Amino acid sequence: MSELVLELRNVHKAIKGKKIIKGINLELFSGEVLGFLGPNGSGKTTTLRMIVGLIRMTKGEVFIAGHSIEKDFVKAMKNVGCIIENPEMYDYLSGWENLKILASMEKGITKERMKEVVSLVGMEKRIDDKVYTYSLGMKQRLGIAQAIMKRPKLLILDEPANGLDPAGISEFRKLIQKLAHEESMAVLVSSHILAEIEMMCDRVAIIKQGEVVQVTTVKNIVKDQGIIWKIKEVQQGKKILEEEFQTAVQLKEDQTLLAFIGEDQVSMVNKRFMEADVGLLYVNKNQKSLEDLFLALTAGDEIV
Amino acid sequence: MKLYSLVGNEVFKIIMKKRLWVIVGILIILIGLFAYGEHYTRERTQSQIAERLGIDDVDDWREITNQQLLDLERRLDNPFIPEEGRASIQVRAEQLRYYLAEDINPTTFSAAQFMSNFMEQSIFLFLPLLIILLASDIVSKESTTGTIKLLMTRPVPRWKILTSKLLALTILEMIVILLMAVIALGISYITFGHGGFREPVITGFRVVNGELDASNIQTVSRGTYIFMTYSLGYIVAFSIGKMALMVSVLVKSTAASIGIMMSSLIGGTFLSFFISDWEITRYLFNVNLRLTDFLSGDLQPVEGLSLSFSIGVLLLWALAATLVAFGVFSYKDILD
Ligand SMILES: Nc1ncnc2c1ncn2[C@@H]1O[C@H](COP(=O)(O)OP(=O)(O)OP(=O)(O)O)[C@@H](O)[C@H]1O
Ligand SMILES: [Mg+2]
Repeated sequence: MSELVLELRNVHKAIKGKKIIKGINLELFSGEVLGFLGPNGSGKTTTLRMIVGLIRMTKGEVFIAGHSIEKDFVKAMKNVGCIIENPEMYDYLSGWENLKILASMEKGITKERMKEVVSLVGMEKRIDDKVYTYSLGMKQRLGIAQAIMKRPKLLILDEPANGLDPAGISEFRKLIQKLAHEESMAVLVSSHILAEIEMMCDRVAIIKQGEVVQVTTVKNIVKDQGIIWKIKEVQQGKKILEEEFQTAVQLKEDQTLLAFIGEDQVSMVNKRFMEADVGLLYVNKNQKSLEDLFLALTAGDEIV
Repeated sequence: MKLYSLVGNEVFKIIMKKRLWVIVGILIILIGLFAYGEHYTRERTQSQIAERLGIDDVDDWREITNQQLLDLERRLDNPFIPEEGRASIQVRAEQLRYYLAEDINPTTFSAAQFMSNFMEQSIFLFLPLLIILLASDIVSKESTTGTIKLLMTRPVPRWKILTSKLLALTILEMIVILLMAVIALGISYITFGHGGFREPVITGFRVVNGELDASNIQTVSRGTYIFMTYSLGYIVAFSIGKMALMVSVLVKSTAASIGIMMSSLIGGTFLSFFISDWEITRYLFNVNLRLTDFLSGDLQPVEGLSLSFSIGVLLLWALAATLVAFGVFSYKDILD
């Protein structure tokens, strides 16, 4: 059974009289990865800071594993691992010394566990070097290591993919999904990379000017994502799809065909296109679905 | 979470930041120069006095001391010397008379004498500067680099984090005092040769209403006297450290933090010159830093101070600074 790990109730924040967060409600369950999406300055980092108690709420409440972050900070924070904004570490210490200091502030993190997370993030070779010699991606990996080493119930990551190389991003994605689905952590991750969020998250919350404008499952978005065909004989292809597969077809501006059909049917369509010799160049998933949604929801939003 | 492991972390961080090594470097260079200078002046004054007296034997300290005493008495007859200057000359003259009467040689210079001299000269400016250097980045550096977020997102209440920093700083202040003692001892032993820790020292002179009060004077060994001066040094280090900690909590940048502490240290001292007759001046921490002068009988910049009053004022400043630091640290938003 999944349990409620994080709950935001009507959270507000004003800084110097300016309303930055205007009443956010959010729930996050164990074993779930929630993507936190929003344009620059929409209040993602501010919200995450309030969740971990770095800044105070003007109004509202945050509960982590049932404990109020303001009234029961220590009990609440026992369940949290996080990276907020940048993966800052003591750069005059080695990676290992950093982990040791942070582990000593928690209960029950063994040396074995520390070694385990170091190898999980692929930092064994450089862990004894001083952090100032690390690249951004290496700092990010160390940041992830310190966040997960206590096996928190709630993992909060603010733009964690920032600075990671493609291999790193893919490893990171697998790691996050493994943590969520096998160790049933609840993960809240903010990011700008929509494709990342789409591949990694189970749900997304889209925030705009301090308000959550939509919370939806990624399945929902991906379900009606559609398939795109690039063919020479556009009209003939459109006819085949409409008549033989009984589906609505859009002819897009770039002369591609977009149809919403199940993935199981795609190979049959392709076979038919080959037989009909319509000049099939490529077939693709419509990658833009989340981006379309994001842009539609945050349209006209300017940085204020 | 256990406090001592937090304190251990903080001490470890301060040591790894290498600030302490900078302080050791400064101490070695400065004490070296100070020792050389002291050595040089001593030899020159001794031969000057001897020359003026027309004696060859510069080692006859009774004669030299007598001459110095006569010199001071002559200056007391000078009507142009202001009242404050007059009082300090009187103190000095009284001390010399005492040395003569008790058969104590004030002209020899030993490693032990250098050690206490060094603290007497450092306590109001150099020592505070070292402590400012050490303490100013203890919180502000974490704010600048963002590592404060690491600390504050652990399951440890904020007051405990600041307490660990405060205790670590208190330990490091002690270490700075010990370093001063050890380095001063090492260098002065090389320069002056003999130790002189058992030599008697007179302490307890007091100035009451411009008059020298010798009713409380005591003779202690030089070793005890050094212990007393360095303990007083620790009180200064302790209170300056707490003030620097507070500023470090209040401002984000280490440079600003050092700047604010240095300017209030030096500015306050200047201020006390100009408004020394104003009642409130005596509650400035700056005018209360020369604690060792109460031992040696030198005149204080503001009249009517006493050792216990000055220590009280310094500890009050430390207490107030600590309260402000805790108040702000526990409630502030960590926005960057
Ligand atoms: N210290 C501050 N003082 C005043 N306003 C601030 C401060 N920090 C942030 N803000 C404002 O709060 C709003 C939200 O900022 P926040 O950093 O939460 O955005 P974000 O969604 O994380 O943006 P990004 O995608 O760029 O990281 C912005 O409008 C910003 O101007
Ligand atoms: Mg942000």
